[in-house]
Amino acid sequence: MGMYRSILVDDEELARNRLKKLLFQVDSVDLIAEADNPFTCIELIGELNPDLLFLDIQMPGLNGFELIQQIPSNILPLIIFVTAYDQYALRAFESLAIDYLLKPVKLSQLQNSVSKLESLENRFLKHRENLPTSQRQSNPLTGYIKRFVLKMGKKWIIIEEPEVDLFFTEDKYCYLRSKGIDSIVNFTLQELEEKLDPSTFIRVHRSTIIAYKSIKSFRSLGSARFEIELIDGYKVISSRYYSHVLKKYLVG
Amino acid sequence: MQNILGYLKQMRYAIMVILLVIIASTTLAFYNLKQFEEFSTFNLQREGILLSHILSASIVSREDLENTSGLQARIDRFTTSSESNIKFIELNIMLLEGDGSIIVASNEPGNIEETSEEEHENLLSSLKYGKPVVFIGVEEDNDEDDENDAHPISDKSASFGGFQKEKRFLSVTTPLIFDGKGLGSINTKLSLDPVDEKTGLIRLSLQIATIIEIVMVLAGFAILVKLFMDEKVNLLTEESMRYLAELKALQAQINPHFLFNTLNSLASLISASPERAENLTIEVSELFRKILGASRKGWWTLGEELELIRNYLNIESVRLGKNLKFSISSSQPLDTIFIPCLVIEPLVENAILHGINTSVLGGKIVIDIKGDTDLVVIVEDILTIDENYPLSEASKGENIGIKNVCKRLNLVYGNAAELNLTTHQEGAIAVITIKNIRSFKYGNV
Repeated sequence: MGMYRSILVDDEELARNRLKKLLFQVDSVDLIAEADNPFTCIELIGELNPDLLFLDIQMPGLNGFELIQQIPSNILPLIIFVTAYDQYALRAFESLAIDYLLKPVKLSQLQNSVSKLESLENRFLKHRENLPTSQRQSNPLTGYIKRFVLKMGKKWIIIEEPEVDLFFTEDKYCYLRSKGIDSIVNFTLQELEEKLDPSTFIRVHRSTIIAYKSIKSFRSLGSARFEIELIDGYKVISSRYYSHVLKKYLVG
Repeated sequence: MQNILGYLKQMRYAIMVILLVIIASTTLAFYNLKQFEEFSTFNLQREGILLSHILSASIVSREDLENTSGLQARIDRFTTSSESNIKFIELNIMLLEGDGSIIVASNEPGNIEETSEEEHENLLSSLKYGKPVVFIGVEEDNDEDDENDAHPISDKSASFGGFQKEKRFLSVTTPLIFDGKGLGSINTKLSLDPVDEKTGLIRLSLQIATIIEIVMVLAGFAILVKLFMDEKVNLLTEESMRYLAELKALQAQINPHFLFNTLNSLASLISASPERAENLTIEVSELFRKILGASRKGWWTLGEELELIRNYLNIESVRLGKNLKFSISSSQPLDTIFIPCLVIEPLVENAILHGINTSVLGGKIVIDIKGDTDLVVIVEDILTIDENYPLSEASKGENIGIKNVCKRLNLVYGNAAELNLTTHQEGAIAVITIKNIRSFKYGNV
C-alpha cells in the first residue's frame, strides 16, 4: 500500500497543529504541505497534485465547498472534511467526500477514515497510479459554479458569475473576460460547460462560451452558422455543431 | 370544595409535568422511527454514489469495456462482497450503441439486452451533464407477475389479499466518459427499505418508549402524591423551572461552532502548552458562569457586561491568534449604570463572525462606551486587509443576533433606544444609543 500524499488546510494554527500531530501517527498518510488559507491551498494543489486533502469548511475568503469548485477535476484530490459542527454533513457527502470528521478529532476516527479509504482502494482502485486522471474522481455534485477565483500576479481576485462576459481558448489557455479584462482560468472549456449554469451561458463554438446577457446581435451566415456580436464589440462565428441550442434561444 | 380547588391549584405544575412526559416520550418514539429511516436513506445514498463512482474508476480504459466477461466478474465481485451491507436490486453496465443501448454486464444475467425506458433516460441525462444522476423512487412490488416460479410461497404471501407492498429504491447512474466521449453508464439500484433485523430494532425501540412512558407516568403520580403530602409542590416547580430556564439560556447563548472550536483549541494546547490550556479552561468557565448568572439576573451593570465581553474575546484570541486584536474603553461609570444582560455581547460576536472571520489577516475590534446623559455603545470591526487576498462573500440575512438585540432594546426602552449598523469595505460599525440612561429603573426586562 502506498502512502497518501496529503495536504491540510485550516486557518487556525492550533487546529492545524493538532491535526498534524494526529496525522503523524497515521502510517499511510504522508503530509507534504499545509495551508493557512484557502488561496494558498488552491495553489498547493496545482503545484503538488496531492492524493488527499484534509479540508476545513469555515475559512476566510472562501469556504471549503467554494474551494473544491475551483479545482479542475483532473487534479481534485480525495477529500476528508474536518470541521467543528455537523450542520454541513449532508452537503459534504453530496460533494463526494470520503469522510467528515468533527473537531476535536479523535485519533481512532482519523485512522478509521484513512483505513476506509485504504479498503476502498484495495477493493476497487488497485492501480491508482495507472488510472487516467479524469477517472480518479468524477465531478463533485456541488451545483453550478457561481464565482471564479483567479490569481493575477501575486493578487487573488474573485469574479462573480454575473460579471463574466465570455470564456475562450487561445494557445492552449482558457481565458475569462470580465469588464474588458482577460484572465487565465484553470478549467478546460469542456469542464466549464459542465460547471456553468446552462440558462446563463451557452457554448457557441469549440473554443468559445458566451453569457446570454452579453449578446448584442446575431447575423445569419447561412448553413446554420451565425455571427454573434457581443456588447463589447467581440465577434464570434458559431459552429454548426452548437447551432441547435442557439436556434432554440433565438426562437425564444 | 374550597379545599379541593386549592389542592388542584397546587397540583397544576405536577399535572403539566405528567402531560409533558407523555408528549415527550411519544414524540421520542416517532422521532426514533423517523430518524432511523433518514439515517439509513442517507447512508445508502452516500455509499451508493461512492460505489458506482468507484466502479466507474475501476474501469481503466476503453478496451476494458470490450472485455465483457471481465466486467461481469467485476460486477459479481461487487454484489457478493460480504463487507458491503448494501442490498443491490440491480447493478449493470450499459454501453451506448448507435441509437439504442444494451447492457453488457449485470448482476442478473437475465437482464442482459433488455433496458427499461427509465434506465435509458438516466443514461442520456448522466451523459449530458457528465455527472451521476441520483434519484429515490418507489415501485410496486410485482412479485405476483413474476414469471419465476422458484418461490411460489413467497409469491403467495406478497399478493395475499390483493395487498401490494411498495418498495423504495435509490438509483445512481454514473456516466462512462473516455477522451470526452460518453460511451455508456454504470447503473446501481439499491433497496432503501430497512432489512428485517433493523425493522426489528425500530419495533423494539417503540416498545421501550412505551414502557418508559408508562413508568414515567406512574412515577409522576407517585411523586405528585408524595409532594402533595409534604406540601412541597410549589418549591419543586419553582426551582426546577428556574434550572430549566438557565439551561435554556446557556443553550441559546452558546454558538456550537464557538463551543467546539474552543474545545479543539484546548485539545491542541493541552500537550503543547499546558499553561495556556489551563488559562483557556479558566476563561471558558468564567464565561459560562457569567452567562448562567445573566439568565438569573436579567439586568446587570455595564461593567459586568464588559467583563463578559473581555472573557469572550480572550477565548477567541486563543483560537484566532494574531488575527484578533481588541480594545475596550469606557468614559461611563461601570458600576452605576445598569443594562439588560447580554445586550452588547451579540454585537461583538457579530463583529467576529461577519467581520474578523472574513479576512485572511483578521482585524481589530474596538469597543468604546461614550455619552453623557445618553449611553452610546460603539462596537467596530476594522479589518486588516491583505490586498492579495479577497474577503469572504458577505453573508447576508444571518444577523439573527443583531435582530434579537433590536427586539430587546425596543421591548425595554421603546423609542428611547436605537441600534444602527453600518457596513463598509473594511469592516462595520454598530452603535447603540439609549437616551437619558439614568431615567430608567431596572427590574423588568
